Amino acid sequence: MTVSLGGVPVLVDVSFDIVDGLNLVLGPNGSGKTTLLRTIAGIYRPQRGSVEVDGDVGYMPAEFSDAYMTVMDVLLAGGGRPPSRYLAWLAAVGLGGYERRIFSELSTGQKRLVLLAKALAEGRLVLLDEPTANLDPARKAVIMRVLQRLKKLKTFIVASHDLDLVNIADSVVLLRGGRAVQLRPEEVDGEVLSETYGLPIEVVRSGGHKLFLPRYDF
Amino acid sequence: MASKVWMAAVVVVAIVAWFAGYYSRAPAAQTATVVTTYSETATTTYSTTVTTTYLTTVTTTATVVVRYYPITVVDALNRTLQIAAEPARVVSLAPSITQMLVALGLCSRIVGLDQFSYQLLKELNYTSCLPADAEVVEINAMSPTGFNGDAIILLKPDLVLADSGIEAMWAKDMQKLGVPVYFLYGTRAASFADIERDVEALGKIFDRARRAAAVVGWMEAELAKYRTPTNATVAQIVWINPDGSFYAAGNNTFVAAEIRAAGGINAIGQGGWGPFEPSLLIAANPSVIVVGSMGFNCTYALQTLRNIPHVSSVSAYSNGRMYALSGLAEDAVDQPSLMSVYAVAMFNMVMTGRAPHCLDTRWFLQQFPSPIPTG
Amino acid sequence: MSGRNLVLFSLASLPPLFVLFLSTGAVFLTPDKLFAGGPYSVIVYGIRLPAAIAAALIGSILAVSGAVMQTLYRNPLLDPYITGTASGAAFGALLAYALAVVGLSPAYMLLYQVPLAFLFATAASIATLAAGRGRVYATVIGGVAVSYIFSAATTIGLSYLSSREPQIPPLAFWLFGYIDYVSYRADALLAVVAAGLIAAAVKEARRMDLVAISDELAHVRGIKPDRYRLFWISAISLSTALIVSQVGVVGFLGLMAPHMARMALKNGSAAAVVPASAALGAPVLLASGALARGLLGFSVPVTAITSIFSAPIIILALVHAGKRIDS
Repeated sequence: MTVSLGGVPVLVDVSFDIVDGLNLVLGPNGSGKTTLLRTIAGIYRPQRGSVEVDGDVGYMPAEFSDAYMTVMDVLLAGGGRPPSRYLAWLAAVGLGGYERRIFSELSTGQKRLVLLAKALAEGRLVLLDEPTANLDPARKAVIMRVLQRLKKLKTFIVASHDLDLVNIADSVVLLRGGRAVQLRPEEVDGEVLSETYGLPIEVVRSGGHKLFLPRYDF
Repeated sequence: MASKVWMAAVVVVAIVAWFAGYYSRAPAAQTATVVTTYSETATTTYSTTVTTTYLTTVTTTATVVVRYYPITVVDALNRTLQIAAEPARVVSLAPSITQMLVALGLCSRIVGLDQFSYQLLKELNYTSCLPADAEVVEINAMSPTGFNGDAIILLKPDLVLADSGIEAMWAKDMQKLGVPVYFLYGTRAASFADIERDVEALGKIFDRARRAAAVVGWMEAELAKYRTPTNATVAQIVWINPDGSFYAAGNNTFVAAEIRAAGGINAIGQGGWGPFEPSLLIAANPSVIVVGSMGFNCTYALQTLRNIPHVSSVSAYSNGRMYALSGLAEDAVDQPSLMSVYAVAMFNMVMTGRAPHCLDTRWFLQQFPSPIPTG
Repeated sequence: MSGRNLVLFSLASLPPLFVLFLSTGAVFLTPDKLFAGGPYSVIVYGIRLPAAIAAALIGSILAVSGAVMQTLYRNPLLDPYITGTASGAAFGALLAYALAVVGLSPAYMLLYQVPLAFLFATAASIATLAAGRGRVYATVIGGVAVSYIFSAATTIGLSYLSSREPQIPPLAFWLFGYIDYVSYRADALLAVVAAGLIAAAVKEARRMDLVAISDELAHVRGIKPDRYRLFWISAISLSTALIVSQVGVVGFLGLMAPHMARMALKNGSAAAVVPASAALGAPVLLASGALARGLLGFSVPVTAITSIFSAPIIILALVHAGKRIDS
């Protein structure tokens, strides 16, 4: 599909298959990751081509306001799902019992988990925009563990430039210059990453997963 | 989404319908409903005289009925009212109106009057003509709902008389009281003709047209005495701010009409009451300055003139032609009504140098012993 | 306090506050006089009762409007007059005077004051919304600009008119608000507006929360946030214009009632605050109106009383917010 925003083409001739499990969309800033996500969510409509989605879509935004309301209120906001469902997913992400807490008083990681629970409750296909950004390694690990666990039940599309997510991905889509390349995670190596990001990136194996080391020039 | 549109449509239709209803009403046509206790109209009488002689003569005399009421009148705000019967219980909301009622011999019908009217009657020593159950209606001329509707309702008046100048903003809400309200020109008067029109309007309402004409005639006679033009330019100042700007009678105010009727020229060339810059006074250079004392005494009022920068260059000041008004003298000037003829007299005396520098109540009553013609 | 308890408590406080409102005024009516009938019944049923009903309805409408605005615009310092309705109404009223002064019948001043005030309050809102188009920042700034423009026009017009017609009545009513003389017809209209607005707001509260949390999420759920905000602010502006044209500007209630609700419920979600505000607004304005009429023997503007109420509330709210930000 092709998506233009304000007359400027952002995604040109992008097409890929959404596989079960976790689909990771990687690409430098401005490559159109968020645009892609929003198009799949139905916020934007492609100028050419179409998006085929079966069933409801859940969305976890990268930015959200610091709302002074309870976690339950955040979950129930505009969702239209029964409260029990939201509570079940809240427990599934590890925040069971937090529904009466005030959202703005939670830590960033906890807030992210709340919004993740909301997205999980609201769709079979769950879109996540930068779910691990600005989190310390421990919090990041929590999110990654949750995603790893739940990808059997849901289909995720994650837009991120956190390369560590490759380790839990079932498919990787690389965006650059508005074009997409779909790979299996095993095929993601230093060469293709360096080309995507325009920076030398080395891939190192350690303890069963891949580590991605950008070569900074200083 | 559909339910939202529907709800919005209901609200819009309701508002439009309400406004349509608003316009389909004529401006309040009200009826005075209370029956009078006495009437001055002739009634029908039939009398039969029987003379006992061989011939029986039957004489019947019938007098023709001329019913004066009901009448329809239009007030100073162009509102139409129907007066069904002669009003017996009247509320007056302005001293200028009270003066006219007293002059028309209607003082005994005033069941309610504002505190300024009462103050005026006290100064004139006329309070005895009021009925025993008369009450003072405390009004607040600054407040849009300051007409004290509760007190008015409890007095159960047949008619409320109000001033279409400072009390016009009450018209909207007074109509909701359920009593007839008639607005006189009052403080909106720009000339003596407007005052005379008010007197005649009251004459019409109370079926006292002849009496009203007599009052008007009296006013004209008094005014004729002072019509000789002089060259004096007069500025009537009512308030001076600390920075020297001041409030004074502009050329379209009633006070200016009084000055002109007295044969003078109003010094302030602009309209309204101000605030005016000091330079306006200096440029106008009036030959006479009259200051209202606004509750202070004469001497203090004259002293406040010094707040105006360069006032010493004004000829009135340098020639010592400054006068202060207080008490009844101030009322006569400020209230467009019957006593305004004395305002004309006073301005004339001021302009021809025949007045003291302080014109207070005592001086006023000496000059004009029976201010309101009650004859 | 739970939401339900707050609503119940507010509703329960209505009857005694109604009685208080009916008692107060230039003439204080003790209970024996209130229910006795006779000469006082005109005052009680003809004048004070419709005013009391208006106060309750207006309080609800303004409070709920404030709650909705503060949620949708993510700004706790907004009130329903933000689109310039207050200044627009004052200008409309002045125009009615101007028409009377310029030589058309003085009756115009009486007849056309209310409709012209409504018209220009709405016109000001339209100008603001056209400038803002639903976007948060633009609407707020646009509203400020429109307010200033109409205020300036009113002030200049007033100065000009008072030089032409020295006895021009002051515009106090439009600037400060008096709930003293309201017709039953106006009450009926207010009731329709209140019912519609409150029902819609309560129903939409959860979706409003979503818009508050994230515009993106709102999009995903099929809400267009800008258009949604525009719809609500239009509905609110229209209701506010109606209120201003009837009773003048009643300030601070739309600002303060949602804060009161937030503090009592310890929850700022629209789902909690919208119904609570609607419930709180009525008794607060009833009480303020009763005080405004009864304190001094003549009516002081209602806004003066609501502002006295608001001061401690706003201070408390700011302290709360400050603590939250600092922690």
